[in-house]
Amino acid sequence: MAKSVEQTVAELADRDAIRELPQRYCDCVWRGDIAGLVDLFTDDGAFIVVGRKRENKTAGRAELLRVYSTLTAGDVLPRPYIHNHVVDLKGGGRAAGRCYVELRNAKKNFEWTGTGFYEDEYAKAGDQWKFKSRTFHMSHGQ
Amino acid sequence: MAKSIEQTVAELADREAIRDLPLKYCDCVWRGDIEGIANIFAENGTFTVIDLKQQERSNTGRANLLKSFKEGLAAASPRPYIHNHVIELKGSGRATGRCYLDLRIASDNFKWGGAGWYDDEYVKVGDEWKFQTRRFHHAHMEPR
Repeated sequence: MAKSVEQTVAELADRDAIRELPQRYCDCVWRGDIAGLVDLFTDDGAFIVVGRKRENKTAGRAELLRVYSTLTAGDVLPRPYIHNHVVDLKGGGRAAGRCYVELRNAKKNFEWTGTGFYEDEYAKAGDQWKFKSRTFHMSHGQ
Repeated sequence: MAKSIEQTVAELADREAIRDLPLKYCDCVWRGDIEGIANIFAENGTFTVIDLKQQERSNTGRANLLKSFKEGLAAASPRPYIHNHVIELKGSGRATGRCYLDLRIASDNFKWGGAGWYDDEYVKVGDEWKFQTRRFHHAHMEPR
């Protein structure tokens, strides 16, 4: 059955709002806006980093704030550029997506420092889309 | 209060048109289309460059923009890639946004040239969105 205009518009609006999430995430990383970044997650949202040998999971607002606050502490001050975002609406205020990142390091003359991809789950909280989970897979790091 | 379908569609159309502006800007820079760049600014639009020392250089108005873009493109042969565009609709034909640049230099074998970001103000002129102001902040520029 063909979608109604209302359904089509609602889906376009959902896609548009979801498409903004990874862009806003990168914008927050560039500006060091950790509170803004964590606000992009649901209250119980999770950030997972998958490495070659292990997986680190951080969940919940307080833990996300703590972990993201260490973003500037190491040798890498990431400056991300996001690409290739695909979105799959699942219905019922749920969606999934994938997007690809290139990273430069502001602490080292903006050298190219790695690449990888995010596997995302999105959830609609009230009238706002948020990250339910972000799983980062590092494909290559310098 | 939930938005009406008309409001939702109008906002989507505004966002889509605004999203096109930095893309068109890059497209014009790549093709050396100086008039095309100037045309995506409002008549009294301003382009400002803020270097790493926070020194600002601004040009306002169509004639000044044409002149400065012509000189800038001739000097550097920039090949920009734009990313991470975020948009805030402000109502009444106004909006703001930010987007991030990854730059290569055509005259130097497309070597990586630097990075930075644009703080933009957009304005609806008739039924077209334009840049009211673009403020380009250098984050890093390779020595040339």
